[in-house]
Amino acid sequence: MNARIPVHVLTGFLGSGKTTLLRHLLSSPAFADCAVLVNEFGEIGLDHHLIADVRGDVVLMQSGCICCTIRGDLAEVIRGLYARRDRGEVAFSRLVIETTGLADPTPVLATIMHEPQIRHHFQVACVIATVDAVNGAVHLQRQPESVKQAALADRIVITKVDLTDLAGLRALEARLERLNPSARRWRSANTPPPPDWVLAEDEIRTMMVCDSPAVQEKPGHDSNRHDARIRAFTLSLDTSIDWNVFAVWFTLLLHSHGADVLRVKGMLRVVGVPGPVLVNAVQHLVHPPVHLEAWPGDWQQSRLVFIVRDLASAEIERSFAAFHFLLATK
Amino acid sequence: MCALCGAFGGEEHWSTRAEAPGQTRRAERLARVRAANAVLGAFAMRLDDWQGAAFVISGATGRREVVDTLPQVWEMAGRMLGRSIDPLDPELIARMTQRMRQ
Repeated sequence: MNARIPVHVLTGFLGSGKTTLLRHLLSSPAFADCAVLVNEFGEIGLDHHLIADVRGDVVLMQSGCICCTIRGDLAEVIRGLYARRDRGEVAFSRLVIETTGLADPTPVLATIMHEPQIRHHFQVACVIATVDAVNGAVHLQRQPESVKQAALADRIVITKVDLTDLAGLRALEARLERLNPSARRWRSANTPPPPDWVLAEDEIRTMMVCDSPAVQEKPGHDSNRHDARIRAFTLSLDTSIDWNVFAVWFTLLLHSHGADVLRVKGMLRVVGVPGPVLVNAVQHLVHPPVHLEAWPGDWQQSRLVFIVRDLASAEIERSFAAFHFLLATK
Repeated sequence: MCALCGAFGGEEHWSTRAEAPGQTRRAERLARVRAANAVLGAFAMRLDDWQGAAFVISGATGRREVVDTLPQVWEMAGRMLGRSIDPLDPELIARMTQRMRQ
């Protein structure tokens, strides 16, 4: 069976530097055989013109916003692209999808993970979000899409850091750390991250952030801020977890609260399984769990970082503890 | 895999991907049925495995429905009950605790 083609979803608010980052990545050998799906938003199609001269197979989406109106079109384009690859008309081993600045990336992820044909040939590699150091704080305050993009990201590139002061930059970073402690961050002052930074595995980061002070921090009290409703916390357990109990609890949690469980990422110590099991979910979408050969550190503790909206961490912890205590096979 | 609808799930649902080595898939599946029944029992509902290929959910009135995945179990249970089952509900935890002690 052929390996599935990795898909990188590039998101970020309007003017935050997505296309600049995309051009940089596409100019590197690591992304040389990369197909790119961009979005023509509005009449100008600015994104298309900016990346028209880059290498890669560029397909222009004609129907407006990828995420809001043309998920069916997105699936059709990806299927078409794969069919052309299958026929030998194009060659690519990686796919980048650039969303519009006003988009929630979730429907793009859902298309890749759900569509019966696509999910057999493609898999989500990571979500990269660009956040503008100058305007990012305002976007996070006023634009729910911006909060969602940062909360769902695996990588956050803070752009235009040379155009802001250090205090402002640190405040933005602290805010992003509270919002999404599991994401890697890169400061860019016309210095985009190297391709390796985008492509690297991030299990270790997931483990390390669990001890981050921001993960334990109480949420803000300013209910007018969009990001104030979102909080991150770590669910941890010293004893091994019964996988089937976890599956029952987690499917039930996502079924009833999935829209507000923005992101869950971490490792579980599962009864009878030697290495850790990596869990990765975006709202209702759950990636197939990954078995790792060995634990990256000395300690072997189940730790899941939750990023939730309007949900109390204590309620989730209490519920999980009760299911674990009541249902685990002794 | 969508945890809301379980669409396109079949045997590839993520819940079947981290089973312990040495256990049969059937045994793991039955363990999930047992755990789900601890929840459903609090609402006088019951889940049964059907030949390792599907689940049958039964309600207090005798209604029975066939579903494929755990997300579909919760979706169908919610429809049969007329409301969603919330694992964060303290009342559910209390009822599960009470039933386990009996």
